[in-house]
Amino acid sequence: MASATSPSNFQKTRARLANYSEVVVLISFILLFIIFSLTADNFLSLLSLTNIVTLAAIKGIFVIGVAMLMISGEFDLSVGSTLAVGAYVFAILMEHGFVLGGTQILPPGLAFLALILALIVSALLGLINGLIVVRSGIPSFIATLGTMLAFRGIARAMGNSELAKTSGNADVVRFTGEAPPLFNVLNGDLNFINDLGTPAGGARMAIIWFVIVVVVAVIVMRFTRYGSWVYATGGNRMAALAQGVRTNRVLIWNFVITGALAGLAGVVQFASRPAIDPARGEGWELIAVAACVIGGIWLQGGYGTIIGAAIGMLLLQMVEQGLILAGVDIQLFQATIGLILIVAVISNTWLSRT
Amino acid sequence: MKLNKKITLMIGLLVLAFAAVACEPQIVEVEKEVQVTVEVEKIVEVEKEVEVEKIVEVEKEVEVEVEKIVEVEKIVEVAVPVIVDDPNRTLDIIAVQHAECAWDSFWCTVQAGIQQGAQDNNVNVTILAPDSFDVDKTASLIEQAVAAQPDAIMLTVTDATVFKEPIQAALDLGIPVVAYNAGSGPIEDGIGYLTYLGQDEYAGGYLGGQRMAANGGSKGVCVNHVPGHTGVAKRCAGFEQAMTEAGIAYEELAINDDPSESATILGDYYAANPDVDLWITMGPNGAVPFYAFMNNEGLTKDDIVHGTFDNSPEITANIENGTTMFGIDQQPFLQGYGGVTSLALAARYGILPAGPVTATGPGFITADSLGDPAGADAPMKIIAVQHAECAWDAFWCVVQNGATTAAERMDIDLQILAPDSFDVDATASLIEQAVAAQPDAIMLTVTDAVVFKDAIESALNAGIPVVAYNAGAGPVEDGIAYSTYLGQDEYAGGYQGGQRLAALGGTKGVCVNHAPGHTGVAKRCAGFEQAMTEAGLDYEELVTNDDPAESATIIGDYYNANPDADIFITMGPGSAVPFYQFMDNEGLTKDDIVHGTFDLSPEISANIASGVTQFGIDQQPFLQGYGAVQALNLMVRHGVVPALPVTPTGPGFVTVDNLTVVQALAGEFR
Repeated sequence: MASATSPSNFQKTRARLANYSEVVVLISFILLFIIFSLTADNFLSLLSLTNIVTLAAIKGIFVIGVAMLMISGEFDLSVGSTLAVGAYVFAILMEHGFVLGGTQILPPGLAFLALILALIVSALLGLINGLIVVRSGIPSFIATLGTMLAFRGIARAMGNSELAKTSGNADVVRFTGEAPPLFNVLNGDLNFINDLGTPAGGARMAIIWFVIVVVVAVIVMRFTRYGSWVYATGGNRMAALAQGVRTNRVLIWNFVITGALAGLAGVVQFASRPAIDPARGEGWELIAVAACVIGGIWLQGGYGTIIGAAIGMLLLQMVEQGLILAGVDIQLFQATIGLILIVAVISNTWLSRT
Repeated sequence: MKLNKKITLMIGLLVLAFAAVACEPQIVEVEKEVQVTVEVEKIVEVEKEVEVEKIVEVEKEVEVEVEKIVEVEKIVEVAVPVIVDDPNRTLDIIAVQHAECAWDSFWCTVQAGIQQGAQDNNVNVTILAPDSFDVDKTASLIEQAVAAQPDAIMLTVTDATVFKEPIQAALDLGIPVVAYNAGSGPIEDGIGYLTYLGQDEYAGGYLGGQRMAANGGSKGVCVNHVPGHTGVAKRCAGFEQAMTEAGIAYEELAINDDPSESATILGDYYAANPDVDLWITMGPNGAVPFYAFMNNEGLTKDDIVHGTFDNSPEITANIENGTTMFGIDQQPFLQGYGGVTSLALAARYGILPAGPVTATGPGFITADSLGDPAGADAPMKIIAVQHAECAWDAFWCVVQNGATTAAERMDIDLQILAPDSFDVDATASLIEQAVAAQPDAIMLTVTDAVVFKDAIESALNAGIPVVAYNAGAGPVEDGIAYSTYLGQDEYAGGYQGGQRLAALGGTKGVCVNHAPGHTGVAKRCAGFEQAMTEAGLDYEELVTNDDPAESATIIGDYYNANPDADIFITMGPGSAVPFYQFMDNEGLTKDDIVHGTFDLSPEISANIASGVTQFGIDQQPFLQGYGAVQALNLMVRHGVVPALPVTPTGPGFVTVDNLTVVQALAGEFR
């Protein structure tokens, strides 16, 4: 680590750090971790730490999709709504099967098929996003703002439809049967971790899924041609096109991946809390954007990493748990996140101004 | 420069989007809907049986009282207390009891409860008692207490006949009165005091029986050493009910006051009925012979399951060594403490106890609960997790005010957590994160028992006491072993409302239901039907819908086809407003029909004021917050547990007598 005694050294250090977009979020994370460790009772307990990782992991699954999309220069504000639709598909198939016009086409409880169909439907919603953005050329911020509302409407309609058998009542679909083994695979307790402390920890399989998604995404983004295309598409689309990158195809794929990951997150969540309501995932699109921005991803694309976004999500969840443990009123959570967001963006901008 | 502009724009848009999400008007509606299904999904076959069986049971007891209802109705009307000018000032309460700590050590616990309740509620209490058991002297003390014109009076109704006049004198002055430890409730005693705080004997036998039957059994026996005693008969009836529900045979065995003879009776009975494996005794006088019988027969805790009412050194020793599963405590501390609290709430805010009897027991003493409580001065932290909050739902301001008021008075550190919009999943996450803080206790809304189950169980597994408030169905229906749920008793609301309306006379009662399929509303109608049946009136349920104009027509058509329908109860503004429209359409006045309703709204208040509507039934949200904090305070610091799975905060009846009080305190306390 170079010291900052002379301006030139200082400049060099800054320039070197600029190559690592995660540096701001990593430093923030460590600083906040230390602060909470000192100020918040029980912060270093197994339950608190596993809570942070588990709760961050579920949202983290689709944050990774949003991160890839943002690196390619686009937004997806519809992830929360996509998640709800995916979870509804899964929930309805699990509880009621598929009934069309009074005939039972699929029996309830086909867990694996329900999972696949939920992922396919969410991926299709992502495809719709991609096609709208690519074909119409309108900014993805606007396009997915529209689909955010539209998909939310689909989720509400599904919850209130004959498929969900909830007519005349609330739109909540619950899984009331015996949980199939797939639920444990998706989001069961990780007891080998939880039993290490008292009170028991809250680690769940979501962590494993999150890690898998992160690892795969990191490999794709760093070591594959597709990863380079994503960066090129976000960095300078004209130049990328000139070099033969099929940027539209990259964008559509990124939207599809984001949709599928949102669906996966919805299903993983449903596996541990087996009820879905039409408001599920509202506001999560902004949490995803916040995690990515705090994680060092540029809003205009081309810069940032998956690891940064993942740390960003962990940081957000750590702030919530930390503030609760510090006895702070929950209302301050949003204010704190807002502050961190702005400081992080200013720091990132300053670092990259070479 | 260009970059910064873009970022500013984006952040601006984010803020706007946040605002848009936060302001979405749909949310409140969704909340209602979600609560609806929570209850709907919960109708289990077994539950239905429970309800029905209970009704029959209640019916037996109340049959005698049907004729009394008219009289009781008048008394209840008089008994709406006057509230004090400044809710924050120290109140003066006089407690009159037939015995005291100085010469009966049982009363030391009651008085400790009174003193603690006084300290926790900012109240001065003067305790009056004769220097030996003397009913007449006690009655005189009540008269003298009334002469002092305190803010409220609590007393033991040792003799309802002798005490009736002195108590009535207090009620006539608008002084709120509750009974504790001795009494049968305003209806059975025929005196219009607010409530009686004592053990729910039926619930004691029933809940005890459920505990004993949890691991199966072939035959349960209620060992009764005082046959003919009404309270003890209720205990056996509750136990029998639990046995029946569990599919276990039942028999009652009468013994007597002679311990050795009773042990022999038990031995002979066991020789003739070797299949008996569940035994419940009615107190030390049944338990001590029972232990002798076990010794005689060489029985151990592996052969039988034993539970008992009350406590004694022998019983405690046998709970410790595992022979006895539990002792049922009437919790005298809570009788004193709860008496002060209910009076303070009545005198300050006009908040009235939900039922004629407020259960202080059964409090189950088990091997797990024999440890020492934290003590009155122990620092205490509670985290409250609720699905909505005052900042974006005004209803919750009253609940939160109740919780924070209690926390301040009881010197408790209270942290309230809620999502920033209705979000069941976020609420569940908040519960999980609250557990990580390892507070002394957690209070929460069970908005969705399925989604919250894991999170609440993680709190219970961590040894943190949990109570639910405002949203939930109680530990049994929710299938989660938290301590109690503080909310409205819907059945009691319909039942008590029906009694009030039937007292005004009529031929046919109609429950106007705009939310068919809603479990809570179904309970309201069932309670109302029960009251109609007991009063010898016809009953019918009329289903309307969410459309006010259409509903008014439905009611009109029904009325034209059934002109004998003259008593109507509506389930809230959703059916009350169409009902008023129907009255308008048909040109009906308050002289033609009798109307009562659940909930309050500006229309309902106006019609209560004009005499068209007899009452609006309030769930008393302030009490939900206040009561939850108090219940946890009692559990953690004093080892006093909630008696029932559901602790009713309503029905609180708002009538023409207390409408102005309620309206004046609306938004803060009501």
